[in-house]
Amino acid sequence: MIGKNHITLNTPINSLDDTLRITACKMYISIPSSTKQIIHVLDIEETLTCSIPDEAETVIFGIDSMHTVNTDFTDALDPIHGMFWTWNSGYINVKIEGISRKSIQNGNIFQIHLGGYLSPYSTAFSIRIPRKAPIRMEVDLGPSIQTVLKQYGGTVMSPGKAGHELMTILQRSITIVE
Amino acid sequence: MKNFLLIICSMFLLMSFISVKEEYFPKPHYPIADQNSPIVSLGRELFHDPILSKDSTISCASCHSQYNAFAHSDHALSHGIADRIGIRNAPALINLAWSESFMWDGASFSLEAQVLTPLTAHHEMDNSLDTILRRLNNHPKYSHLVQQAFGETPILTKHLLKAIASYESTLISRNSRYDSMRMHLVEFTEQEQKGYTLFKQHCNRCHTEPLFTNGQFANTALPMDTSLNDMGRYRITQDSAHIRHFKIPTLRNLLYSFPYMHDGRFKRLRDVLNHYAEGINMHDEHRSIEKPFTLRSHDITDLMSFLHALTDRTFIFNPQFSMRNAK
Ligand code: HEC
Ligand code: HEC
Repeated sequence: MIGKNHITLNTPINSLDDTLRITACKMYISIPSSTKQIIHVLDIEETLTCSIPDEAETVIFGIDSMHTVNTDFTDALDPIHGMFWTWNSGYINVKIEGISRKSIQNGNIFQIHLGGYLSPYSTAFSIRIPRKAPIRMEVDLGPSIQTVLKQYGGTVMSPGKAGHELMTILQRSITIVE
Repeated sequence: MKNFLLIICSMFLLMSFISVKEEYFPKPHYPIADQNSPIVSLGRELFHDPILSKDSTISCASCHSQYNAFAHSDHALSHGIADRIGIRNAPALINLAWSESFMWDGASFSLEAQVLTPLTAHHEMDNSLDTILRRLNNHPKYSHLVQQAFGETPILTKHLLKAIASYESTLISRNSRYDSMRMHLVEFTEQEQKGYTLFKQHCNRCHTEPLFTNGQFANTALPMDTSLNDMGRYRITQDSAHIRHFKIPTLRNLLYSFPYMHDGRFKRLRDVLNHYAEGINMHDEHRSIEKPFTLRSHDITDLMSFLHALTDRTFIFNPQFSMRNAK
């Protein structure tokens, strides 16, 4: 979502005093479990739905440091999804790309790639979820996009302070609706 | 009776050699693959095959040549497809199974993850993973080799990474004069011994025996190259304590792995030693070396003689590492 508007890929949204288009939106969701952690890569081009086992109490946005370092590069963790930083090893936990009038970049694009598994700028965070499925989560991308446009010239694509700050903003923009 | 005793004695000696051999090397971090396994053959094939680069002109071995201890000697900075020049010197690939992070700044956390970097870097092979997997899957040789190695096809990312990393894990060098000395098979000359003593005094805290690296990062206070302005480990951690800190390289096979340092600025080993003796940049507040080492010209010669004893020709010329059907 951006503000009160649902996002559809490549469709203009009038919000934030701007006309925005989202061209890509992908993120990792990990579900801790007593056996093997279940990891999904959610992509707006495919599906934003994933199944969560009944006993799960939390979900993690992103890939935690243990699962980053011990990755076997299969299934959701296969770098073929374009969610692995090859120059810096580590997964991109959240990728948001689009076009905004306010961007000073070539072609008015903005790119937010949030990741990083090393402290103090690690970006995976967990949130508690209600026990009963199904649950619906809404993520308002507005505040993150506004910050990246205002403070970072439209792109943040490496781990560090900026990425960490944006992830904190994103974390505050999540609401769980039953 | 006498004969019998002799045999027992010699067996005992033999056993003690073996146990000493195991003792002075620590345990590897990444499992060392069997050199004769199909996975290693596949990895060796891939390492030498330009099919992995975008325009099929460059293989891993183009920048990591066995005769340079798997480093590169023509250029200070690495040289990729379409003559693109990189930002750093290609390091030697030696005893990587003992390493816990890779690249001059430690950007890669594992031998397998590292493989992805050159494949996609613009100034190296500039390819995409989709393209590489498609090419390999369309290649009868690789479908066959992957089936042999992993018992399954199609070829996936994990097969590619595992095979190359397994091959790299076999690039082990532990057969230098230094190693023979450690196993009590030879004795150092007086000059080597002097150099060894100086080494333990000045260098061993970073270039720790027997791997000749402690796996950490340090700033050797090189005069700054403002055109590259390479911040080293700081790029990864953004911790100012790591400004211009680079991975401490092994010193094995130095004779073959020139030029030296992350930017290849020194062509001769003596230039590196002169740097430690008189080139320390005292204005670099992030340096790990307080002040120049007191090394007179004959000390440097002794140190060189010790460093030469780290040369392992069986490594440089091991036919198992190169392509089996090479000319
Ligand atoms: C264009 C030249 C080039 C090519 C091609 C290339 N490399 Fe490298 N390699 C380098 C450079 C330069 C570095 C150091 C990079 C850095 O520190 O940022 C490096 C670093 C490495 C390291 C890290 C060593 C250590 O001790 O930290 C490994 C391992 C490695 N390369 C393996 C490979 C493999 C496997 C391939 C083929 C898939 C390959 N390289 C292709 C130039 C190259
Ligand atoms: C504080 C840690 C430290 C100490 C002490 C130290 N080194 Fe180094 N050495 C390094 C680092 C880090 C590099 C890589 C620097 C770079 O590329 O910027 C290096 C690079 C080298 C190289 C180049 C290797 C290559 O493959 O490029 C040689 C040779 C070398 N050191 C020899 C020595 C000798 C001999 C001594 C003792 C007189 C010594 N070093 C003391 C940390 C240290």
